[in-house]
Amino acid sequence: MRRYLGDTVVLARKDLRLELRARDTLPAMLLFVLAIFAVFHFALPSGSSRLAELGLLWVAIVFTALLGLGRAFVAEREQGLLDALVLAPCDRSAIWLAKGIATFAFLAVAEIVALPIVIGGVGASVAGSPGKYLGFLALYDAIFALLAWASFEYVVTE
Amino acid sequence: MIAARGLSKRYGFKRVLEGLTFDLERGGFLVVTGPNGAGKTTLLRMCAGLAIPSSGTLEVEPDRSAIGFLGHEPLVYLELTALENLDLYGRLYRVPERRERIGMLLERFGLWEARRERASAFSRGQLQRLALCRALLHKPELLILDEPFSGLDADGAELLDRELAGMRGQRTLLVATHDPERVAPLQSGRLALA
Repeated sequence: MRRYLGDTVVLARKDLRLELRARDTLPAMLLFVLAIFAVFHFALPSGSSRLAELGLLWVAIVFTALLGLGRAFVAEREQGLLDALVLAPCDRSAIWLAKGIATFAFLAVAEIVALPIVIGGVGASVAGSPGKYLGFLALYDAIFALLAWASFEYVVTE
Repeated sequence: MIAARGLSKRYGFKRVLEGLTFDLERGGFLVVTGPNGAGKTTLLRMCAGLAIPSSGTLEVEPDRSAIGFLGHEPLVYLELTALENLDLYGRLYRVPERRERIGMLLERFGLWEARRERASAFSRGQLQRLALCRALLHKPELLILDEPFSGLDADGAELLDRELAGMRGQRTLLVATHDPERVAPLQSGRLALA
């Protein structure tokens, strides 16, 4: 288990370092989340229910997460690096878990940007219970990370 | 070390290899030759565990932790430096005395001065040298090299000649090349694919 976690940390650190250098994923996610809120701002009629506005927040986060996942393997795909990772004597699920962790980190950054926009821009007020919403976001992230890992595991197994 | 019996590989309806049988003993040096499209790369990828045979049996003795593979791509991250790339693989392969081993390989392959440069700034020949460092990093028992002289200048090719000569008898080598005469003095067998 310790070895598994060690491999995961090494691979996740590599993914974060690559993102810092290449900026393949995070700018696209931030741009997307900002664009989608701009669209919502003009698309929602005034006086829309708070529930609808909050629903759109989740829609934006889901699609931003999917965008991040879709770009998670850009370097490996373009440079044929999956061969090298698959050849390495680490558990293959560690590769996917590391990708999930990196995508989770990018999503957290996107949420940090998105939440104030929702509070101040789109109109969905969470000012009354920001702690509750941060809790929801953390829960959502945890579920997303588990789903990502489970789907990666499925792909590897199959 | 490698035993292939009736090995075949098809991609859809395209037959790439058909009924191939050969043995490669421990410490042997098998050269694979053949024209483009003959299936050299496919054979090497199957031996490395990167492709699955369509039929036949293929037994490769060491597990993947003891296989060094050099393919057509350098298999290094272009946004990482030479040092970072080798450190990543060194950690994954749990190379003992990793830093010393990486330093020694970078020196030997003439990349020490460029160790802190990103691989994206490397020339084709430097990338091939870095790829060789990566393949040799964990002192593999079985070394699988696909066109290892590709992109190397005269100095690099001579360096690789010396490396291969130094490994003879100590490691098992499976090498695909269009220039079989270059390694003819070292080879223990040749497999010509049509």
